Amino acid sequence: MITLCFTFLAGSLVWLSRSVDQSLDDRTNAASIAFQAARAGAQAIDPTALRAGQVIVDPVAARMVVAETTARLLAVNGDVGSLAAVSIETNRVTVSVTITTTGRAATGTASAAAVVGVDAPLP
Amino acid sequence: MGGTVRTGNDRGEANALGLVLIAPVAIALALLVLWIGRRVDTDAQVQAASSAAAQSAAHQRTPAAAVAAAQSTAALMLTDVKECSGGPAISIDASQFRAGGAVTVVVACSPERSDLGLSDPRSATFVATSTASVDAYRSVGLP
Repeated sequence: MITLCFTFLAGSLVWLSRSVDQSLDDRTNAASIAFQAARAGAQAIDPTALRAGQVIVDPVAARMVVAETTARLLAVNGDVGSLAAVSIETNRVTVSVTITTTGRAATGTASAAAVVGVDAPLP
Repeated sequence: MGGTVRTGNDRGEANALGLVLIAPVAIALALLVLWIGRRVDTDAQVQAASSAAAQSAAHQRTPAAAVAAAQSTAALMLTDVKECSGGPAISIDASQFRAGGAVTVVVACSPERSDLGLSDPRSATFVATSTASVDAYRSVGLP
């Protein structure tokens, strides 16, 4: 009886740790991929507006770059996932990525903004 | 308090054999918890280190500087002796290191486990891969 109890306890501990490890990993990866995709997307600025002194992200180009970067990074990590949401404001790109490698969804959201100059104030 | 007189046999069962058998199993279970906890923790730390290393590499001007930055960042994030004895092993793919490209960093770590009382001091290697985008618009210095 006690042996059975301990075996069950040890087994469930191992299972729990695997599950926690995997979901932690997925969540970190999702956030990391979302951040990199947002950074890449925020680089797709509109040159015409920039010449007029305004930093504006080109929504069409940015969405394309974000989708491409997300797909590439998911492939590099060997993860199954998808782009959950992209939102583009004036100079800010916010990306949500969902990873479903284990069947359970882990979502990470990150945002990046384009600014002019190395020491520009954060928007 | 009244003196209640207990009748009957009150000599319980001191299951010494059960105790002897249960104690090692309980200790083994505690060790298992420690081992699992450290495993999950190390995995997360290596992942975080590779992500930070890739990000810092992407901010450099040249591939050589990127390699150096990735190595120093990963080494700084995994300085805990218990995490990576002998330091983390880092390999970096800077073949796409150009404006608008990407840089990939792989961090591998063989943590010390001898303090957990396990016979096998170093058997597991934790590997994490991260890719960071290199800025498309950057000042001079990039070849």
